[in-house]
Amino acid sequence: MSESFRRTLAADLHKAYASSEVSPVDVTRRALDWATRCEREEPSLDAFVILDEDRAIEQATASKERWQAGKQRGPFDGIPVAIKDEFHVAGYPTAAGTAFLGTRAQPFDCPIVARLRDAGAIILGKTSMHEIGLGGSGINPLGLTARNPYASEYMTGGSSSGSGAAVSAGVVPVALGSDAGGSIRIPASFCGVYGIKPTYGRLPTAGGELLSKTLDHTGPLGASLQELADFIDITAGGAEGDEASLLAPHHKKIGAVEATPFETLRLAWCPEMLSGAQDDVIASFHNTLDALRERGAKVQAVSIPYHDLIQAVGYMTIASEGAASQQQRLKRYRDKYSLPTRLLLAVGNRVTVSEYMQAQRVRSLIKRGFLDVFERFDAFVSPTTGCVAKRLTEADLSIGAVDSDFNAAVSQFTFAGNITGLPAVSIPAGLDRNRLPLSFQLMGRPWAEAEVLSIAASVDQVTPEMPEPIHYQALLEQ
Amino acid sequence: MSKKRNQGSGVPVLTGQALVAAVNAAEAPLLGDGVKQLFFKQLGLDRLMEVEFDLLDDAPDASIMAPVYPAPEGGEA
Repeated sequence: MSESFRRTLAADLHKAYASSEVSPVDVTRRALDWATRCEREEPSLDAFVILDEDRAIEQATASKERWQAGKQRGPFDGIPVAIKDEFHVAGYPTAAGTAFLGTRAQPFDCPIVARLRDAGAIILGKTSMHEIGLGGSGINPLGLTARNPYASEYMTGGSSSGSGAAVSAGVVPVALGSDAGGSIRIPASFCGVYGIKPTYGRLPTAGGELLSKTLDHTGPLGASLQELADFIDITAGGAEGDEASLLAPHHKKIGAVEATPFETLRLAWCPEMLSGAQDDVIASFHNTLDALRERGAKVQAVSIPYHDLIQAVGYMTIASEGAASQQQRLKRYRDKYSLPTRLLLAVGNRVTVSEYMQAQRVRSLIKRGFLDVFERFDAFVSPTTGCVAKRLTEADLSIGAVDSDFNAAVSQFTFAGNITGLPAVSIPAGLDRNRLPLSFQLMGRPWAEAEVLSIAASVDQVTPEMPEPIHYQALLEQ
Repeated sequence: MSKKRNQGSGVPVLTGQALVAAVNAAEAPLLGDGVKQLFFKQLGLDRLMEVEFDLLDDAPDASIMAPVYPAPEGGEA
């Protein structure tokens, strides 16, 4: 295992396509082969619920012809991508991690998948996830529980668990996820890759089985920040069925991600919010802040009003909206949900209107607090999660478990991005004492994805390099 | 929110028969509210109801609106 490890990026594949070193068909075959071998290992990676060789090769062949004719469509033409099994992909069912949905193939792609396909991306397959997306562990006792490529006996985090595992293992350089409480950033964090939850409404959420109307975001997990930027550039824009995306401003393309000069950075952090996080998480975060200060960045502690209620607002909102989203299905399929999901939905069903409204009022105070911070600072920074990945247990995999301490730790810093709707990116930050990935999160102003990614590129220069995962294969021969 | 909640608050991990019992109670008409109150207390949701908006000078309106932000000047971002 090399400590100077570098992932295969979409740009590396494009360079190889341009020189005819390999073709999209070669790369797609390699991705399919590696994904299949990962599924056959003991334990299986369990990243994919659907892998479709025939259709993937068909798309790759079309891409190869475009490359040969010099008519490639942009940064994702010929790039294998994976789709969380929460989104509709034409020809495949959408099970959303349940044992009862997904009985028929969907007739249409959801808007995001349609845009990826139009851009020449190769839809390799659909990835496993936490049941209905209601959880941050990725553990699914009734379906597939993806394994962490850095340590297969550990969880990936969720709910976009298979997407995290697929990118981390090198099967694809980019994957689609969704995030109502951290579900893109948590698996990105635990699996040592990059992930962004853009501003609420930037990418459409229509055409899937999403959970929580006012918290849901869609976005990518990727091998580098550039994949995240390209993904947003390709998929941003309004879509019918998602009012927020129709209200969003016209997206100005991000293009190449370039690091912001350190001496111009103004970063805020909130010391009180670190309380309760694991020691290695806190130490890693402070090491990164120190490195940024040494290079000239201004890093200042701030106070966020009602910071201690951020998670409570998130829980109240996701429990209530999640239960509302499952009302009709609960009547028919109650016994087919896992026990942890049933418990959380039962509690959510009992949230009163006054409790929900009170949470929304506090939510608006917290949102105002963050906007005040962005009057003086370019980004608000924290660890992404309060803990690292946890070891999977037999009970997790057979009946499931409700672990309140873990749930609190895993969403300790992520819910702020969901309840405010502000963009938030997670970048890898080395390993802890047990060789499990650590991470660093940056939140920014509304619609400032380009700025957040640019600042993240600066931070990325001072965080420790990630070693190669135990389960990894490059898509290009090295 | 207790200070070291994430590193072991004493709240047990619910699994096995305890999880089955919790689900049955949560879905029962009479017992369900008790389970909810227990969860609220464990996760700190009960403290949300303690925020007194009347004491705030510039209290926000209650809103169920999602966090949609206006476009910046020029309409592009």
